[in-house]
Amino acid sequence: MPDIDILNIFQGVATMVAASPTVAIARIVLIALGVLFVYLGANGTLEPLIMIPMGFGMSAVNAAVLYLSATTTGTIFLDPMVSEPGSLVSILQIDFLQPVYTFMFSNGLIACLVFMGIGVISDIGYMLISPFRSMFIAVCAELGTVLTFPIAVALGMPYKEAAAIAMIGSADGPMVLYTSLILAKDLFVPITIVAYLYLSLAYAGYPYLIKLMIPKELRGIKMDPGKNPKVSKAEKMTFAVITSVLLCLLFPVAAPLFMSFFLGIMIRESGVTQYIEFIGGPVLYGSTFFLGLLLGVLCEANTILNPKVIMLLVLGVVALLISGIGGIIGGYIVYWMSGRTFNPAIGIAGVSCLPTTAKVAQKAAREANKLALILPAAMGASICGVISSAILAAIYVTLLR
Amino acid sequence: MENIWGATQFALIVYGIGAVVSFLVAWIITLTFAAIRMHNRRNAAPDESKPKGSPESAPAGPKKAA
Repeated sequence: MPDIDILNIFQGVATMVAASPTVAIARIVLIALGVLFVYLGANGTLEPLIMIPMGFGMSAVNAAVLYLSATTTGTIFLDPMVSEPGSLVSILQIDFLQPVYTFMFSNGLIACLVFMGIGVISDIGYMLISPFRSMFIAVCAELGTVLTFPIAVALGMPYKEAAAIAMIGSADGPMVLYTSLILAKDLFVPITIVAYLYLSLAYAGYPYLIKLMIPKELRGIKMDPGKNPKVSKAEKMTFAVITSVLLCLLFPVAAPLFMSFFLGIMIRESGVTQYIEFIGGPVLYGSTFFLGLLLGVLCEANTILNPKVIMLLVLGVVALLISGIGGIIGGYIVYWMSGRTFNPAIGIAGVSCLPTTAKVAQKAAREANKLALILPAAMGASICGVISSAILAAIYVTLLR
Repeated sequence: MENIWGATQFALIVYGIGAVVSFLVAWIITLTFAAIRMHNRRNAAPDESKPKGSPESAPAGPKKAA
């Protein structure tokens, strides 16, 4: 009978025992954190669409470390560091999530598919009601995307990494993923995880920021829905085509994102039900599911033990906080310019976490005044936020790539 | 310190370009609106200028009923 080493049967435990105490503790913490994310996602505290698959992947990958050879350990989920073609072909046949990672994630396709889905669920009619006003709020709400950059440089980060982390201020997950894949490939996993984690928390944190900065009587200002002009499908489609071509012409490096978003809008307005249902359903939710799962699987202890992660956690909060404050300041400026008829809570919707921040603004207004309906204007600012953050991402990528 | 000042200048330039392009998009929207509405108004104008007695402009319902 051959010798049986009990630990060799249970290799997840064996690799934990053999690892350094730091890595072993990190693995245990990440397993627990993954379970916590699943729990918080399931009970609605965090965004369930991302957090459930992400938490599940995070806990599974940190448990499933095995001996790949006598001296090396790893998992058979995926290997993000493989780039040499021969090794990649071998890994594609072994690691079960490697095809999704290589052909959808690392080239930004998954971000574009999510963006296409966002286009399909966005009614740009809201934005076309008052384009300059909505865009002004969106530009103000990009303050975090801009001010976090010099702060990150001051903390010792190189320009490319500083730009990638500053993009968290745009509060747009696919945008952060796309930018960090191009500008900070080594840090894109922690940056994207921090971004998605904070985007989930923004839903809980921004209402307090609104209450802190805007008194109840201003939060309760009613917007006049009668002033909203009707926007035809032809107008929306013309806008989508012209803007897409213009932005692709100005920033070819971000053309996949622009094209995806405006194609989504075009599909929505074209009324082709089959496409709308396919892209707004299986494509959007399938991409979001695999995005969450892959982010979780990429949360291996060795990746998270990068000393820069603590800095990313701090800078992520700073970026979102400054963007929120900038948006509300923008809301106040429009309030004064409109003769005090504009609800300044709409400013938070300029932070482009579509449609979360628009819902946050509406909820804050409804709490102050049950008759206050500001969702159309807030959705307009939010959609403008998506466009302005794509423009800023394109400028960062073009100048720093 | 120089690096931070350089980064601040860079960030402000990015913000400036971003703001200009964003407002350019808003301007395109306004222009698109104006062009489409002007086109629609022009299309509607010949219909309105037709004489009231002409068969195209007469209300069809009651005549058909008669």
